[in-house]
Amino acid sequence: MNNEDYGYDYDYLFKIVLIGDSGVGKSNLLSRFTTNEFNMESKSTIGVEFATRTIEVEGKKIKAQIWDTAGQERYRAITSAYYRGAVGALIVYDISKSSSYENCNHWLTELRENADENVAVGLIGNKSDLAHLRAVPTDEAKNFAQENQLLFTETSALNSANVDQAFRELITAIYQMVSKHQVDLNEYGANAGNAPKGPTISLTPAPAKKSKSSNNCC
Amino acid sequence: MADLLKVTDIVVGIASQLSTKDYLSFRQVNKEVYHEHLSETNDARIWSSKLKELGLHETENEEKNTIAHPNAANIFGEITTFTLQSSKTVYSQYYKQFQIFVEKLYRSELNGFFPAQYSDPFSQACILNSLVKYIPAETKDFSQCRKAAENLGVLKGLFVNTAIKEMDLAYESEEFDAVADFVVVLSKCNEENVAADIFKSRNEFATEVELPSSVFDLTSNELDILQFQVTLSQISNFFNSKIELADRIFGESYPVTLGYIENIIANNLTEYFGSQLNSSLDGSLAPIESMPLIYKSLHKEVVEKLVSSRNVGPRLKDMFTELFDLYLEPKILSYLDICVQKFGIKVEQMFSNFQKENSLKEQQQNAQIYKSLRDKTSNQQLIDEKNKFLTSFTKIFKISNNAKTEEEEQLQMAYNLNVMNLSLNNIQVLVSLELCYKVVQSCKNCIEDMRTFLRIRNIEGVVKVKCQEIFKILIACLSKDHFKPGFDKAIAVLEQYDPNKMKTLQVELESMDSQVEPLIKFTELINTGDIVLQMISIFYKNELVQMNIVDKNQDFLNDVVQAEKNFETMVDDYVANGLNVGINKLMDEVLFVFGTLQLPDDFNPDPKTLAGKEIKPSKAAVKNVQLLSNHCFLLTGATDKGTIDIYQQEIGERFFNEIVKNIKKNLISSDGAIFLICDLNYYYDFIANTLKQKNITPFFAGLKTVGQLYLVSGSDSKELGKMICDLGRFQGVFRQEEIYELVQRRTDWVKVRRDVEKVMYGLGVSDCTIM
Repeated sequence: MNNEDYGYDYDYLFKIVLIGDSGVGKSNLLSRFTTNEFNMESKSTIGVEFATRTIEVEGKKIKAQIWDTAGQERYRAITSAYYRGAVGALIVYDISKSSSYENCNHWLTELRENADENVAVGLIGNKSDLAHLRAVPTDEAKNFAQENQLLFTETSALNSANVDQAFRELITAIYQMVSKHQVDLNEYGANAGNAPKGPTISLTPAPAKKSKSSNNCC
Repeated sequence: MADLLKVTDIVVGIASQLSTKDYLSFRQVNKEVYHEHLSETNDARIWSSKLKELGLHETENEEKNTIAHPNAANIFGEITTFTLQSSKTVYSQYYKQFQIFVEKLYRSELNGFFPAQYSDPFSQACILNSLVKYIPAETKDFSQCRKAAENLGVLKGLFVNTAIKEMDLAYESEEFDAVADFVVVLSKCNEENVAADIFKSRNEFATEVELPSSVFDLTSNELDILQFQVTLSQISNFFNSKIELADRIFGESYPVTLGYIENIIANNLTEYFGSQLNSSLDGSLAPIESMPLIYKSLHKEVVEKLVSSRNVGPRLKDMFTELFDLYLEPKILSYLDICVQKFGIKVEQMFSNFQKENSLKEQQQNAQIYKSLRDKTSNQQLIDEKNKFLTSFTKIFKISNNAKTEEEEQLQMAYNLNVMNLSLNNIQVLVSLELCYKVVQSCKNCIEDMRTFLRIRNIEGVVKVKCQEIFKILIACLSKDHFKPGFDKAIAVLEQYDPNKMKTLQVELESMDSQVEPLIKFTELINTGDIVLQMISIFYKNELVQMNIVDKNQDFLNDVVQAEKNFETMVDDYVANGLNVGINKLMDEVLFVFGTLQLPDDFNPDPKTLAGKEIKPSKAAVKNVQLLSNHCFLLTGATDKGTIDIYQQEIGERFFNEIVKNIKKNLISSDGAIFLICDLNYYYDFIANTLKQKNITPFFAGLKTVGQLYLVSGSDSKELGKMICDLGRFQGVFRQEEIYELVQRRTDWVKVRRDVEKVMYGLGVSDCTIM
């Protein structure tokens, strides 16, 4: 397939994975962010789903390609495949279910083992609308996030609270990291677009605009 | 001899055998007889028995007889009772009135028989009538009695004849009151029949009315409304004037009118309408087909307009109708037969004309195609041949020959495909809704006409049967002459359709729609079929059940219902067959799309371009889902939910099989896996959220997990092996051999194969299931 076949409508393409226990609301967070929909009767995700949304960060169009995975996936071979090439991840737990919060450590570990070392990570306490059932104190989660250098937001896919914000913060963080790395790479004179490895492996600047965008970054 | 008169019984016995005159003498034969044997009591008994012979009744109490001076004409009407005491006086009154006439009869003095005081015919008739009773009572001598009776008969004959002559004269001079008087006279003589006959012969329909020679237009056989109106008003006027005349002449005393009317209906009208309606069936329209109109008009213009008749009474109109129905019945029955017969012929003709027109049109269109193609190719051919001519003579001969055959072949091929294309376009017109509507409408009209006669109780059953027959003919013709050829042809065209060939159609004609979707055309046909079925069902309810032509409670026994059901079944079968063929063709198209649009690097992209490759469904996937969604919902509204479900599930299942085959045809790299997964998600989404067929959703969920087999990195080959063994992952849709077959489409299969097989065959069964 030739690149010229694609008319790019974005400057960067980021792969982001949503992870967390089964039933914490990953699929609804995704649908709330990409299509502003919420499905009360959503079923367990089979395999992997994708959705994209393009947002603008510092004047750049960034296409977020978000992978939504099955929370109950048991094969490490598959989860590691999900993480391959991801530049961002959101670890989601359910604020009304402490076990889902406790498992975040496990998810973080798995992420660190499989994903790129520079992957940007956000911790999401979802279902903030269920305040009366809260089982995970905000401060505790906030502390955990700080300790592990994670972004942190409490969201509600049901009432939309903070969903956009959580994704935006993550995407912005990735962008900042990428643009910094790109400068580094440019200094080495490497061809970022074709570089198969390293931090930009999946950061896909539109080839036509590549030079322009890198110039603007500095 | 004298001794005999000493016995009272004998004396009384003799006395009772004597005429008045003789009796009076006999009583005075001696004192003993007078005082003892024929004492006052016995005498009274003798008179009493005479009076009883005259028909008078003995009563206990004396009744006042109203008339002071009875005469011969009225005495029988006036003095009807007597007491034993008054018997002699009463009898003497009768004797006084009639003896004089009897004497004349004895003596055969028939001229000047009636004295002047009895000059009016009515009194004379009364006297003649009275004498019939009086003579046997008075005249005990057999020969005298016979003579008197004979002479009375002669006299009466003369009298009646004269009365008839007078009546005739009165008719002649239209003195109908005089006629009425003679009717009374004649009926006094018990000759009412004669009076009635004279009325009939004096008022003959045939002589008074001249009906138009034909109420039909002789060329078109249509009812000539103007002439018919003339006929009706003539008939109506005739009847009304005669009813009034009969009332005037006969009053209520003697029923003449009804017999008179019956006579005219039976002879004149039946014959007239019989001959009017009796023409051949050759023409498109038979006169008898106007029967309902004629019948209704007769009712409206004749029966409803009848004046009231004292002679018949209040039921005149009903009786008239009954007579009318009775005499017209044979014609009505033959009308019903002809109606059924003609309807069958007409409908068959309508359908066969349709078939003829269609095939003619098709021929013309085919010829047109051939001509256009010729025009298109011949120019090219001309130039080619010119060039060839310039090269070398021998070569020309050889090449042009070959070229020509090639050209011909190509032309033939193009022709065939274009004809096929046209046939497909024509599928939807194979069953014509418009024509079906016309036929149903015609059936409705026919039944409506026949229902005119439903009110005639005698033939009610026949009318119903005939209506049912018409309906059965409708269904039989619809199915045999229209639906069957239509659907047969449609299915044959569908069978021949080859999407791949159609797409290679090189020489295409501008006027034609190249995007033929055979199934879409076929569903239009199904839709038409469904509408016709609904039309029939509504027709059955409204025209047959509601109008009581079919007994709803005996639905299941009824062969009409059976015919309707058979028709439905036939359409259903055709729909099922056609859909089956249609699904085959759809799958051919799906296969074609996979074959032409699914590129080798869709799932096995060049790593160099991978970075720029957006993850979205492949062109083949988008095209196929579009194809499916174009076809899956075609039936919505055209048929029942059950059929639609079966149809959609069948498409889904077969699509699933095509996807599996397509995966097996392609190579998938672990980088390309995500693109396959994206396609599989896209399919799943269509089936689960758009098609919403729950029965087949698991197949597509299974496919989603199959996609993950390719996502796993080659370095995880051992775990890949475990996954293959974990059949529960794949929704129970696949067997292990199938998964094993699918996993071989990994680009790195050669590398991972050893580890995978090691896990698969090297581990115990329990190890395989634990995961």
